[in-house]
Amino acid sequence: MRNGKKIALAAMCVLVLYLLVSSAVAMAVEIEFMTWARPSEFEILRKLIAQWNKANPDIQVKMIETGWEMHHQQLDIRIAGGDAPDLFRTTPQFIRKYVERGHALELSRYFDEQYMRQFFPITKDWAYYKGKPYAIPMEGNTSNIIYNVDYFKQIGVQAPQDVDDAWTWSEWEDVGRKLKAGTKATYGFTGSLAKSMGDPHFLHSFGGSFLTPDLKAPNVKTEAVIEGLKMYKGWYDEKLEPISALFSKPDSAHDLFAAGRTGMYDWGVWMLDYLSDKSGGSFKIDVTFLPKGPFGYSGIPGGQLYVISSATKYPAQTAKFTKWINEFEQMSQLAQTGLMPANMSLAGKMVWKNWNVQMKKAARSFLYLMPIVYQEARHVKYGSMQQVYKENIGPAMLGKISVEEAVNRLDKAIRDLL
Amino acid sequence: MLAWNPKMLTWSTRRKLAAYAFIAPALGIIGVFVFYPIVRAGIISFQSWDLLDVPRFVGTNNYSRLVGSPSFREVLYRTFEFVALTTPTNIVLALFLAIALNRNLPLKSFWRGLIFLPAVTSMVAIGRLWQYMYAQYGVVNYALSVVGIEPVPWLSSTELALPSIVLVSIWYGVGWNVVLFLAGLQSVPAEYYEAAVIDGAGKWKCFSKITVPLLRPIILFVAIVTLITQFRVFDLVFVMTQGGPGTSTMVIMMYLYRQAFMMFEMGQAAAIAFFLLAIVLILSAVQMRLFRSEALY
Repeated sequence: MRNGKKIALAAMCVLVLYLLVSSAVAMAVEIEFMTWARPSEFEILRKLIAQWNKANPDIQVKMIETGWEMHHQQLDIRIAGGDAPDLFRTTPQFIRKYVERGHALELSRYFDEQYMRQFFPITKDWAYYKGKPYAIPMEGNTSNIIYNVDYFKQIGVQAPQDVDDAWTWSEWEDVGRKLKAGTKATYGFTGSLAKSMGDPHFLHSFGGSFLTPDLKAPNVKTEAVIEGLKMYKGWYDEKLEPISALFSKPDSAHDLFAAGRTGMYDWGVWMLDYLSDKSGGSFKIDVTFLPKGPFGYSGIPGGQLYVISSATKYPAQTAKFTKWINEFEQMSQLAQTGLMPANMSLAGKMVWKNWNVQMKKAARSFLYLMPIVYQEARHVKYGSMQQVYKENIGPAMLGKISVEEAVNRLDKAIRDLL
Repeated sequence: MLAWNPKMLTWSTRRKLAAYAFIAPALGIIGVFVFYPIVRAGIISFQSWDLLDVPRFVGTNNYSRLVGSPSFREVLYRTFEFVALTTPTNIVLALFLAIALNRNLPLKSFWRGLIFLPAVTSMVAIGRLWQYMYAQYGVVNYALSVVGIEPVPWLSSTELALPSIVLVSIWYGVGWNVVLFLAGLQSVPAEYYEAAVIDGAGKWKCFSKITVPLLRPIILFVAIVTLITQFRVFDLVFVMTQGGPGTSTMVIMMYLYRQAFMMFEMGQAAAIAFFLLAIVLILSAVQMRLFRSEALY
């Protein structure tokens, strides 16, 4: 009997202990955060998440690391499979499809108007749909001209140091010719104009766009666009820009520039560390502004936003983590990898340890972009339009079809998409 | 009440049940990972679905859009062009390499290993390697520059991109077929050749009247498998050109990928898959009919 009492007491202790442990375990949640990033940014993200997990044992964050090219495909498949991550990053070009399809959580309960007011109006505009916030802006960016300072000294050209002084496209062509003739560069320039065989920002500065302002019809068949594309094609004919950079990864703009084979190229300032490493510091690198077209200053409308999945089981916890990762202290560490914070006051106070002057120029470019650049990027089929743009304009650049024919085909392809 | 007793079943029924029990696990796995996806894809091919929205039934709209699409016709033409260039070249080259390797060559094992090596390498790695080799400042153009030839835009030219990929595909796939042909050649009795030589037959006669007829079943197998493999080419194109420049290397599997993961038209993509299945079935049936023969000797 005595033994029976002892056993019963021991069993009760075990049961109480089990209940205590399991309730503690039950209180801890794990949220998944899916994002792409450059290696330097991933390093900082991992440290930040480890720091968060240590300070918040009840809300553990697990980061799912993806690459840029596959990120949205993997994300869409997970969403389709009912396994959406709690939090994910996306860009202005893709946010609309998640919002319109009901996969982004409406955030006004967790992020009030005062919180949202701290972001640049352009970035805030991305996050809103029908007057409600569905995402939290993280950063904004656009493309700039990255140039070889040593080559510019050789040809006696001073690059514009303010966006108001930006070259015209003709002036840019002339600089390219001088670089080709007066330096070791094989080509004058290359870059995201090549990459942006998927982006229409070149069209924008010539008064064109994928879509009309109401986003209901294509807007590519204009004289200005055709003239602009003919000029673009002329760069390949004149070998100012390598045609291979359009299609071949090993002949990428970054590597050609880092090897000194081009004097300038247009991309984002987040590439500066990579270029400096790749070139082995053999020449000085600086940043200037994209040329202005007759209709204004254009560039690729880039940026990143945090989106909380509407399928998350832990919206409050996910919102808490999102708020924290976007706070000054954390964001200022991430921004050091070449990001421009969407938070106005942080962007104003930021001092980048590397490339501070260049980052400030990039910020100026970002704020100077034409509104059309952002408006049509929000169309739910924008990604598909980029694909058909690439497929239809490419043959014209190769001289297989005329520019007029390419524009006709593109017009039809966009109509079919709509 | 009588309890059920297995011995009430006939011996033949018990054997059948036992056989089904043994294959049930494998059948289950095949059912889940093969049959179910095929059936599901079939259903999706009659729907409009972008992964994020609820699928919507559209009848045969996906199929009729494909048939009426000039882009798809262009893709089909390009695919047939690719298959026509790779398949016969692969088979003929593999056969002649096998014949060469079937002789008493010095370092025979080394040559066999070398020819088979690409076949055991990842297709993605092969594609990436050749992408760098074909680059403007890559090894191939460097070799050409040594003899004074300007760099060739192998993957940046609409005329050259597809043939460049064809070469890689042949180089990659010939090893497997060489192994199969070698096995076949080694099963041909040497006495046949000896008798033919005694009767005055030359090398070509021996090849055409002995080797080819006796290798017929293997040639048929290799032809069908190579045909199917070339129709399904995706990794090489995806890694090397992504269907470009323009759409000059947009073969059917790359087009399927484009529709599914770039345009997010899952219904269309599924319809393309079944279209491809139909094409391959018809061509395989034609091949089997052409190669069919009664007793040869």
